Amino acid sequence: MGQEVEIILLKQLASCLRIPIALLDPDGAVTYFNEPAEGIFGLRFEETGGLPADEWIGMLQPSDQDHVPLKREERPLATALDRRVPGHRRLKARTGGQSWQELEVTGLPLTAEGDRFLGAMSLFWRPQERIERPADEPTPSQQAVETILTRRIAATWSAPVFLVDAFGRLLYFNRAAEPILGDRFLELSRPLSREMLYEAFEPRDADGNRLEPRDHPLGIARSTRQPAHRVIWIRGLDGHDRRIAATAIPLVGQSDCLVGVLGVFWESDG
Amino acid sequence: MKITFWGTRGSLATPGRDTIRYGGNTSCVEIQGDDGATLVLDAGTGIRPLGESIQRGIARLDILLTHLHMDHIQGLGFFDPLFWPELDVHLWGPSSTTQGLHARLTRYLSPPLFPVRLADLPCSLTLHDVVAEPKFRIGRFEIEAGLVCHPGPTVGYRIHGDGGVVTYIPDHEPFLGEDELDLDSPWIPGLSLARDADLLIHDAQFSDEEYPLYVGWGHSSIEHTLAFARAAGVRHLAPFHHDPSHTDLILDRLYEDAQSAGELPFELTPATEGSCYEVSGREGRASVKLLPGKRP
Repeated sequence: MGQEVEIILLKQLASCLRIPIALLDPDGAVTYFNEPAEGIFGLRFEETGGLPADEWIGMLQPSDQDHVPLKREERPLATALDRRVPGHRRLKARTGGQSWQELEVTGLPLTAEGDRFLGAMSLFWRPQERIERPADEPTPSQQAVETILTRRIAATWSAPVFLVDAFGRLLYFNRAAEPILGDRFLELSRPLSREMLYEAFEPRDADGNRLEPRDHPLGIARSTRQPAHRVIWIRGLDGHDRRIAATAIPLVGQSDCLVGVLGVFWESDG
Repeated sequence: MKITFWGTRGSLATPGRDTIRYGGNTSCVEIQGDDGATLVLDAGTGIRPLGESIQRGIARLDILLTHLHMDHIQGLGFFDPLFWPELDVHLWGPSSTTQGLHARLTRYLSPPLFPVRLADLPCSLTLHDVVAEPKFRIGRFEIEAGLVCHPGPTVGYRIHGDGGVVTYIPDHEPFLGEDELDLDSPWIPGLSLARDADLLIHDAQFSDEEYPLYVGWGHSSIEHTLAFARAAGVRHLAPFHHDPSHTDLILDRLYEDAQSAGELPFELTPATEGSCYEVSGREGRASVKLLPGKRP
């Protein structure tokens, strides 16, 4: 049976990015991981042909800070697979099959249009002190292949998704994001700069305090080139306030340049 | 500049009576500049006869690899000039997110896949990563590499020489995941490489009927190739990387159908092994001439 085009696009995008990424099917088996993730699994993907859930969990042994194995409901990927909402957690794992490492793990459910559940995407990164990096070159007239693939994936995804460029300018948001943002992407009268984006959506922290751009997940991902996750409030373009869980994924591609940031949002009840 | 097709087949070398006109050797194109500089684009099986045609005495040769799939590097170990101690060879190609070009190439050019190691080649060999260094000069050629849509790190090359621009994108699926062909230029991968090229050599592996079975394989249908060329505003298109199952008769029919489907804003000549083009004139007004005869 042929693969879903959404999975094809995700594999191609993952192969272009420097973040360790794994794709899981609805049963939790790893069906693909990219080159940077080889350091997590201790294997090349081509050597495995896929990893059943029991096998990769046995390899990585995801545990809490005291090395107590996490129960299923505590694991972020299980959250993504079982509850179909993002899961995020800092944990310890035996990476490379050997040493214990502290990792931040985000699990994003993959639900395509038509409510087709395709599994989950896992992002791994090593927590480190936030290091600000200088801005990269201005985006050229040709979008990078990583950004192009991301936009095509976003168009098929049922989760609300933003795509901004390396300078924070809004490039695209998908149909699922329209109810949150309160407008259609095609109806925007002009491109939104980073400053306009923040003025328009008035992002605030969980206590309602204004969030500076550098503290917003998109801003953190842009400046540190690490994924970022946070619950925030925004005001949609329709004037309504919404509480959302936001995960931002920096698109650092093969050229080691930041070409954009993918923002994935869910309305958060509490 | 003079462009010679030494291998036009994709995926698998396909020698035989049924493929004798379009050719059975896999991807290899030679570009010769007016100053004598020679570029070799990809090292499929077609690089072997190219190697036999090169006269000893040249000082330098540049091989530009688009990616490291077998059909684009298989001929490398059989390219005679690599065994000339006096020759300065520069090999250009893409690194991956975790491995440099050298490490990636040695996976093939080493036992058990190949008895000769890269380090054992007698020529003076210098490797260049075109992801880190996408713009460079070779002689009077100005070259730009750009990542395109194909599984694994894959680039296309835009070659600006005396007389015009040639763009080489042999493996490319520019409309992957797109239900409608939106020709909005910033969102088509590889388009800036091909913009206004005098000659575009581009992947056209599948017929329009075949393509739905091969979505995600990294190759174009003929319809997509024509759309890409139209969006780029090229002057001459040479569809390339013919599928192993496409005999000469099948390719004749496919391109007759493509020509008769409607007027094209560019010349269309499917790449055939042994054919030569001359691109001459000046930028924006170059002429692209198919030279008579074929190289043996």
